[in-house]
Amino acid sequence: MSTKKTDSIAYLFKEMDPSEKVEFERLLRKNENLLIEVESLRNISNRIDELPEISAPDSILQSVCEQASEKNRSSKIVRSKPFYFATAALLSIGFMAGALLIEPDEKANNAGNASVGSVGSIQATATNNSEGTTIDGETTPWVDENDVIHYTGVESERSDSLLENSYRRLTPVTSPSQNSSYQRNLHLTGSPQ
Amino acid sequence: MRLNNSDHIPRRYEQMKDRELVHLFRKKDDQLAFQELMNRHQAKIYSYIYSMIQNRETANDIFQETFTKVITKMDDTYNEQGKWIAWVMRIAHNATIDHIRKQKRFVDVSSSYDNESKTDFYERLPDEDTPGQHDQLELNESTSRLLKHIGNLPEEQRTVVMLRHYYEMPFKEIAELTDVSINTALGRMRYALINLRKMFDEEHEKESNNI
Repeated sequence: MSTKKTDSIAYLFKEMDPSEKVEFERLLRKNENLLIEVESLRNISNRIDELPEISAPDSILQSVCEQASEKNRSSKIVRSKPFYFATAALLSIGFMAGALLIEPDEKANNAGNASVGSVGSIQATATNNSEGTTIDGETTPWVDENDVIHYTGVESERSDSLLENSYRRLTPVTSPSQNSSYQRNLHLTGSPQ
Repeated sequence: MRLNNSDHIPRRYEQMKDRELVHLFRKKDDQLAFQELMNRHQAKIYSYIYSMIQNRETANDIFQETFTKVITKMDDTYNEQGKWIAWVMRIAHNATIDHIRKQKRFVDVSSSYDNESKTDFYERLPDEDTPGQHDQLELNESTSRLLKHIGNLPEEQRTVVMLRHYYEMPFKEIAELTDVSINTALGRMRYALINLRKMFDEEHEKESNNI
């Protein structure tokens, strides 16, 4: 049986299976050169075994231990932080819940007062009341798909007078340059049908 | 090798396994547990670093760097199922090899080779960090010689010899740590021993000639 070059090292450092070890020892008895090599390697290996352990300087060890205790102190702070986070989270949840409880009442109060608004708000109202029904018998404006304002809950004559009044409030533009682009883009299309 | 000021550590800590000490330190912030771990392993770790670098100042820096990483990463990356010392040693080994490679890269990139003296620029400079100059340590002559020869081994061979000697690491683990096959690790040990034998023979021959 041939030996690998590394077998002598595996044997020397006790890294062989028992069966491999028996086989290798049998070879050692037969092969003098192999025996010389193993003994020579063992000799050097024994010298290495004499290398002493060297202790790190005390100052370094002390600073490492201090570092470890500082780390623990800081980690304690981090560990106690979740308590603060939990308290903060509870408080903010409390505020939010309070705000939600108060808000519906305010909405109910504000709903009646919101009679004047932008086209968007009017449209929103109209969408909510898709059939054009009135709330509490009041006049409800709504906008059709051509952006024409209609009033539900009023007769057509009254609607006309409403529009007439609106037109009267309009003033002629004296200096067009002073108007913003937003104003220039606004179209009033309140013709009665 | 125990710390000089370790008398205050109760005896029960000495009887605990590494795993238990690590657990105490991690979960209960037990400083004595950490000190006991240091007591047990610092000398092996320091010796490994020192034998690889052979410069006291640099070895101190690498040792401290190793433990800074150990302390900061213990909560995140250390798995208590594995051996703590193997994990620490891996950090020490990586820090040491990083340092050696940085040094080597610096020399490789910037050196200018002199054909006459067959040395590069940095070899001609007195370099305090050259392996073999085991400064500031009082070691006996044979140990000094051995360390000097070990310092002259190629880095890969030196690593295998020192990992085996100081950590009694099986070749399988050495192979894993150094990212080679087990046969390569065994082969490196073989070449290391052969090279050391040659160095001792040459030294012996020189001494005989001088006499």
